[in-house]
Amino acid sequence: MVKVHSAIVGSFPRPKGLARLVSRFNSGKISSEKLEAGYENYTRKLFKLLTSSKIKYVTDGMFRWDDILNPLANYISGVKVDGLYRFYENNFFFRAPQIEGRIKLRDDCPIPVWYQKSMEILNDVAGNNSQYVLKPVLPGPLTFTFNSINNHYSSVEDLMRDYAYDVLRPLLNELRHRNASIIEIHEPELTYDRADPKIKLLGVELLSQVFREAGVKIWLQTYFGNACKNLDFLLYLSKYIIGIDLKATEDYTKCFNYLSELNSIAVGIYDSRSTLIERNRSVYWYVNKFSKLNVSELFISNNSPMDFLPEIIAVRKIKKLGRFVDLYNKNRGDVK
Amino acid sequence: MNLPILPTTVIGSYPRPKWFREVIKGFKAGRYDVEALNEAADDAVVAVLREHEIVGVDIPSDGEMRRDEMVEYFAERIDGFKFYGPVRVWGNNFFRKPAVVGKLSYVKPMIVEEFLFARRNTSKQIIKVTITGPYTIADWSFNEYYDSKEELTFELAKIINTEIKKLEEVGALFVQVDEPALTTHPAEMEWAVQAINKSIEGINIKVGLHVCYSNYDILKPYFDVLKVTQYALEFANRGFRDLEMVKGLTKELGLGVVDVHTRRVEDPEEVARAILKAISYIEPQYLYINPDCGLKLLPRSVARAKLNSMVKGVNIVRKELGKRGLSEIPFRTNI
Ligand SMILES: [Zn+2]
Repeated sequence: MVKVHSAIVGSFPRPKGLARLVSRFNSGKISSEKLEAGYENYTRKLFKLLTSSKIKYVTDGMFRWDDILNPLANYISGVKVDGLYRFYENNFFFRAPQIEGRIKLRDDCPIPVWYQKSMEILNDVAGNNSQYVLKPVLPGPLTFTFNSINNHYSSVEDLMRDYAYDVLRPLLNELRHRNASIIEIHEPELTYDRADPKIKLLGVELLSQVFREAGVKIWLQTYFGNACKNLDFLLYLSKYIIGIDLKATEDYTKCFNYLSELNSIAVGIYDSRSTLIERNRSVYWYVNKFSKLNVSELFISNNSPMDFLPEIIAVRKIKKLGRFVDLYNKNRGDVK
Repeated sequence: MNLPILPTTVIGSYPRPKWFREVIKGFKAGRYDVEALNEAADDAVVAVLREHEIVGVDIPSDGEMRRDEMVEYFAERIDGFKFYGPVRVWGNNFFRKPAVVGKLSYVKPMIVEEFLFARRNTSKQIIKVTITGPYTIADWSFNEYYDSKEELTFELAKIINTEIKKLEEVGALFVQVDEPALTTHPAEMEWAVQAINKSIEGINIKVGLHVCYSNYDILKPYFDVLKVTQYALEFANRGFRDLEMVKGLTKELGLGVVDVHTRRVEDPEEVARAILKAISYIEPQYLYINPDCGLKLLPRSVARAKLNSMVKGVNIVRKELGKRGLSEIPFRTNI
């Protein structure tokens, strides 16, 4: 039977205390050292929660990020950060990268260093030879391109290529040097009804190419959109881990048989946009169903970034998720 | 009842005076009791109404001085909501997103007292009373109780309808339903507009609808379906580019002429040009003039300066219209 793993994807809600530190820093009331200590402190707290909940595949909560594109966009030359735009159909807004010239990752991009710091904290919390996998998170080429204001490139294809080759590729290399083995790529645009199929195909081709070259595994996280309807693109990356938003893919039975062609699938059962806590009975039903797939690994996770939730609910869901998967693996079925 | 042509008004919210913000902070820290807080809120409303009157706004509001946030305020007063904590809206900005955890029910009037106080404290005949619409409340809440968002929205429509009826009973003349979320899920428009109609069913006073920072192409097909007399829309922010979309509008337009997201104060001439552009698409007798949206996020001095420019710009156009014999319009409650 397929091995079932617990995982979280994307951000964890920025805690109130950390938000207060950020705003005090922004208004010049505290030093950057104080803020840095805050980031480390809250990251540690999150890792304690995740490890005590036995979640095996984790992110660091992305506490330094404002949205999936920032602050990365600040570290790309050729990009200015523009006004606020709605993030898909959510009452959540992000600062859109405004493309004013050829884009290229700047040398001072701190994302790899942040990863290393988080890794050290995780090792500290869980012990060095722990089995926890920390995934850095980055936006995919489609999501970056379609949420940018392009004032420079004559085609979206060119913008996407430069993002993949000159922004993603150097980041993947840096992250691999720092021992990241799986990199979580957020690609909600892939399952959104906007990009032309040809462009979507280019998006997955680019990902496949830069990941192959970098020698790291991709965890392709889709959300807000129907994965079944975009299965052709997902199958293109079938040897990696594909994350789907179960809530947005309610008709998954329609494409269920094809999902077996994936090597690994992460089923986003825990809804990051609802405060209702998933019942074990229904989670159990889904896990049983998906464990019948002929995939080598099955991950159970949340379905999208957790920024849309109040912190207290995110904590409850994480605990519930970890406990569920643990019991499921122990009892192989008898989870109430 | 008649109004001067191109009646000037506000969308609703206005910056809270600094001293009032201090009192709120002090109240939260336990330094002031609720009486001190309420007294300060009353004084703030008087100050805002006076400010609107001094710059020459024809239809003022109380600046929504008593409301922290447009959904939160109502969710706190409707039975069935619960607050789990703040949720991020952007960057380091959070909003106390409410969750519907039980059957919703109307408890008691939510903004009637607010309206009565404002009316006692202005010399203007008409005050704009704003109320958040059922769709936006539903869209900005978690739904743990109702089977669908549609069901939740219609439940809220009944509650909002009760409140507007109470406002009508005590003599309110102009209610504006705020629905900034309306066009954000195009697939839901069909029932969303029906829910708004439900919320204003049986109302005989003037009802406007404010929708901002939205794709107006999605709203346009429903212009005649919605039973409101006026659409208050934001146009300064988009450089008045989409204005031709109001061509053929059979209702009044509340034209947004100053941008609430920039501190640059528009000149009266700029405002006049925008109005003249609008007049090429819609008869001036069907035009109200307002800022794009609530002014609350601006520094108070900037907000006041913008209103001042707005009124001066209107006066430039009024002079021209006066030459054509157009100086007044009826206050319409039904179109
Ligand atoms: Zn508005």
